Amino acid sequence: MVRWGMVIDLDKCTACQACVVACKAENNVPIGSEEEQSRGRQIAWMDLIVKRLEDGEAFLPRPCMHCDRPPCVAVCPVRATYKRVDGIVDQDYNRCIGCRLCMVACPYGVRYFNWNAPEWPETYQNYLNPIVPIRPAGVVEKCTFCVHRIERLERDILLKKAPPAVMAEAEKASSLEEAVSKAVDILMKRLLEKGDEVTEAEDPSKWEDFDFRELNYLPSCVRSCTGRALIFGDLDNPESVVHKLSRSKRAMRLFEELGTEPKVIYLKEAK
Amino acid sequence: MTETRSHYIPTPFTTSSAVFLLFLLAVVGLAFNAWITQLREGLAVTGLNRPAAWGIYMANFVFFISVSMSGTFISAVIRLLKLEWGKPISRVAEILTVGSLLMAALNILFDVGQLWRALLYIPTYGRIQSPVGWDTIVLLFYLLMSLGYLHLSVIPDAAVLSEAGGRLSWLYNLLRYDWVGEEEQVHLLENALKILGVVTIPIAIMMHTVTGWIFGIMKSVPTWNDALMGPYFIIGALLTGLSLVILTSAVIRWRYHLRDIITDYSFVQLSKLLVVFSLAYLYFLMAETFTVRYASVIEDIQVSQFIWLGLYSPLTWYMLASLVIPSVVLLIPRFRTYKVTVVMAGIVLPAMWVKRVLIIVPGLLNQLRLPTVQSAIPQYVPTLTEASLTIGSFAGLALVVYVFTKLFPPVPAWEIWGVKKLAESHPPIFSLKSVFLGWVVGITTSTGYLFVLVVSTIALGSESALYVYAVRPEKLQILNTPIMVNTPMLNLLVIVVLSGLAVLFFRKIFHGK
Ligand code: SF4
Ligand code: SF4
Repeated sequence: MVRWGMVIDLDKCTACQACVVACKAENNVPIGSEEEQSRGRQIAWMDLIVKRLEDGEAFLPRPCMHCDRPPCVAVCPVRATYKRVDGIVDQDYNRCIGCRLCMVACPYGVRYFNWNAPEWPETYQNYLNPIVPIRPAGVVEKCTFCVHRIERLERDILLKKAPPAVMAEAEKASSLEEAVSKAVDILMKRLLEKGDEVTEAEDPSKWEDFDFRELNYLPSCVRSCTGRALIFGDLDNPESVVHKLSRSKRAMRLFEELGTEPKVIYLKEAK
Repeated sequence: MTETRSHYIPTPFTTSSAVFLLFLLAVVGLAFNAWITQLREGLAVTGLNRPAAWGIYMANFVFFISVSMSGTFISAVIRLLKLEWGKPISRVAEILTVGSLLMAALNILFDVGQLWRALLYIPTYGRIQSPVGWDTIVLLFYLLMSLGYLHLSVIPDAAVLSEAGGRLSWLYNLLRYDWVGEEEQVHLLENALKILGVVTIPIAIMMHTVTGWIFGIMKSVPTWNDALMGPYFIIGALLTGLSLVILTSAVIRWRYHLRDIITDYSFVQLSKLLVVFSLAYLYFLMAETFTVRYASVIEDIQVSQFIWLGLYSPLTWYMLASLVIPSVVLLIPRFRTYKVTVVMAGIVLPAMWVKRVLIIVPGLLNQLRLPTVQSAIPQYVPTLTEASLTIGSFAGLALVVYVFTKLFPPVPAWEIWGVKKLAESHPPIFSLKSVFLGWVVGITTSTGYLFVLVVSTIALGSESALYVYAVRPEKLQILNTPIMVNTPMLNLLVIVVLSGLAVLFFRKIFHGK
């Protein structure tokens, strides 16, 4: 069984907010006017939390935790939010009645309500992502772990259109789930190993054997993280990077005492 | 006869009542306008935002729900305990229940982002595991019970009114069935009311407990996740409901010149109840505050500081004072008079509304244990739209009560002046017996049915929280299995159908004889 999860290495995070911007662009998140923002109505599926401490500041990139026991799912009166078999807590924008029970129930404050109909500046209109639905006013939305990208990977594996390295592994897998799980891991490792090398290379000829589009199967924030602090994958796959990192001594999860079993794991060296 | 009849017939419609009616209609109209604006522009027109996802709509909802405790519950208790002094106020209490439940339902509808979806999807996809699912069932059920209760208790008065003729006699005729005031019928009516009363009390308790649980089950919000919530809300509801009953009865006594009927003695008795409830409420408040402050869980204490010493402290201290003053004043026997009681009820009522806001907003403002980078300081300032919808719902409640007292006697005349023997005018569609028995059997059966359904869904159903959380956590995704069976509306439909079938059944039996 796939269990998608994310590891966020706080020791590597540079607080550059690339993930925040990449998420907004990928998921058609409305930008909102300044006035609305100052009223606490901005939407940021991936947000960078700043905590002021005595000796400086602490930063925390915060997507939805995709809890294994999500309190938001339990309270929804119409099942507009639900947990998928692969562990992603998804949102049905066409079902949601906008009661905001889930917003109140989520301990991590990751759910956002569309107070107005979404709006973008004129120049943005052509750059909206056609795969991701645009949410009307009056519904709740939140991070989906870029579920459309994972689904596209599934589709491409089935159509045998996925990158060759991925296809080679996928062919050996016994089920689609296993294939996707392996594929994501291959891509993730590739990003971790090669991503830096390629982007930092001075010589553009080095980029040649590297197809950046391949990596677009990974969640947008992971793909764009400059410090390689975000790592995505199948927590149940013992071979995967996330699985190994989630066993690390530095691993911790937010508000574990609430029993929500979050699937986003933070890594932080103890002081 | 003519003299007694004058008690039954509502006071004529004078200019002043027309002005009052127009005023109420104007306020409701403004609120309606605000609602239309809100529907067009979305909830952006309210002051709600991200930490404060719920605001005064939710507070109003809880407030009106607690007002509803007044009615059918208090009047059922009065009837079951045979409290003579309570009889004149029971009609007021019943109509307040019906009106406030309607307003509570409306306020929830103000609060949702997608009104039409809410109306369509809760019936079709409703989940019983959601607090809103429970609440929908219980609210509609309680409304049904209260309407039934009011309906039954109005029958003898409607019969007298239909004899008197007039433009509305068709309405009264419809409501009287074959009531002629025979001894047997009176006996039947009283029994029916008693049984309904017995069924109403658990429903009312359930209603308020479930409303408390909307907050009690939220582990994410500091100070909400509290086992006390259910009982706390019941006491709060008793206090709120009672003070509104006192105020409304006082107004009715003043406007309809019922000094001799709703006597000072009734108010003295009510003031004793008021002092008991407000002391109990203070006790709960103390229990809550002290455990939170002693245990000092970091998030909880933050909220507590915010309430008692922070931004919201003036409201809190005002609320506390408004509860302490009546408790102290009414403890002194000399002060337990009509006037003082009314003043004290007037002090308690707004404080209880403020307390509802204090339950909801401060917890939410501090809810985000994770602050956000761009967002300003968490704050919540209600806008004009919210204010006008709030005032509008109070005006709506007043309108319901007012129109009712213009149509029917504001006190249960048949219980006070005795039942009149009447000649039967038209052959009724249903006999009284079948209607009574239909109501009683229908509602009793469906209560039982609902109870079994809820308990079995919670304990055995594959979707149940118990099953999912304790037995097989990985099964959480199968939340879509048998949706229709868990649908609140389906259950209600069953309730209504059962009542209807029972009516037909008894009609057949009695006509067969
Ligand atoms: S983090 Fe919040 S929104 Fe995400 S699954 Fe958990 S409770 Fe639900
Ligand atoms: S706001 Fe939407 S997703 Fe959230 S609980 Fe209500 S209906 Fe469900």
